[in-house]
Amino acid sequence: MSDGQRILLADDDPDIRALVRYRLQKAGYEVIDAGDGQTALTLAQEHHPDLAVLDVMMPGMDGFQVTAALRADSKTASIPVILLTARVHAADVERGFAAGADDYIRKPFSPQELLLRVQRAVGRR
Amino acid sequence: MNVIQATATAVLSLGLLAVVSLMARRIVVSNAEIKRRSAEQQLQPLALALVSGEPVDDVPGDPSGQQVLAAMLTRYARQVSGESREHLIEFFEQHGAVAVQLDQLKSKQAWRRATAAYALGDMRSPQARSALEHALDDRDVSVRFAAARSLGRVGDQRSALELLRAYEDGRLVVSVCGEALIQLGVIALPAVSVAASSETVTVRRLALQLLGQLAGPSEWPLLAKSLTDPSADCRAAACVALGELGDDRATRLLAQSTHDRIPKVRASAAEALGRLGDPSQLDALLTLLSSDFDTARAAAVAAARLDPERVVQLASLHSNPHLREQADRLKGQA
Repeated sequence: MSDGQRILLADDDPDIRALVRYRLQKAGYEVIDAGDGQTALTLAQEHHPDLAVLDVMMPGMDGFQVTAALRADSKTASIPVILLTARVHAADVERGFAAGADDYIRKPFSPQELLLRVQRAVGRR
Repeated sequence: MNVIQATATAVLSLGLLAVVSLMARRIVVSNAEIKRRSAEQQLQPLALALVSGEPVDDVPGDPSGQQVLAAMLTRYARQVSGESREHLIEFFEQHGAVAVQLDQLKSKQAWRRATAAYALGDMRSPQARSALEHALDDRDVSVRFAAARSLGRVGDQRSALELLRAYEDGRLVVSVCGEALIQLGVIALPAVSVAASSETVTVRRLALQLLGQLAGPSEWPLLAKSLTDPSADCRAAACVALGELGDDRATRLLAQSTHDRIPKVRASAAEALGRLGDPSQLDALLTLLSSDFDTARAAAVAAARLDPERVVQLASLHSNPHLREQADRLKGQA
């Protein structure tokens, strides 16, 4: 169903990376992951993933900044971005969309829901 | 001389002994950590399969393996919701992890009881509710606080009343009780609504603060009535809650509260008017700019929310410091 599509995952929490990676790999996606924003941006530029799932609060560049940087580069501008965040205030959500995110998922998150949102975002490409 | 030499030798020997024992301790701890990490690595595929609700048949039989698996799943349980959380609760209950922590909750050592109370919250098993409510009576404050946090996560409506009682008689502090009730969410509303009419001022104030975050339009009359509470703290909390509720029926009442005799209430009412966003209140807010410092500042913030352009314009014509502060902030955002 996923045809080996590539997902970039960035979160500084190894447990979350393990949980998301497992669910996406089970569904047939190839997952590349990073523990910080700068590495995520580098991986996006090198591997051109079909989707990025980004944590908002990461050391160095946060998820908003990574999203904005992806949008600013013509090579990565079309990569759909889903923000994975514990920050649920309306202002934070608005900030994410303003930076160019396509969707956001609240932490604690449902891995089932995350997979559905990933499938929908990748399918829209 | 001999005495000095003997003393020096003794001190040196004791120092060396301390260094050697510290090194030995460090090696033991490092080895235990390496073993734990290695066990985690081995058990991670199993743990991830359990989170996904996949059938597994190789759950470790040895206590240390079970302990590592339970610790890993407890960490995962903090991160997931929905079906995955349900799978984990089922696992914790069926494989005795909840029973182990309930047993630890009876330990003589406070740190063990607190750790168990905390872990039970991550496991979120309804089986733990009664024991956690009992732990709100623990003689050790860290156990009581951990139990309150966990009751918020277990998510049983009945716990709301117990948490409020524990706050009322001093077993919990306001932040711990409030956080647990917020975690319970709307199911805490019936108990919180009753507490908004408590005879104890601190309980009333907490309940009113919580209503701002948890309540819907049906709680509006309760908050409106609290604007005439004998306690200024409660009146201020009701103002803030009405602003958070966002029901514009409160506008007229809040406008009256901007003339309360206590500055804190006036400031809270002005702030709430800004949140409600009715532009017809702008002129009334501007008249508060010559009031006490807190009220004037809150009025300027509220005015800037209602009509940013007019605030910038007025700041250029008047020397009011609060208007200027808001104008500078708005220009900085532009």
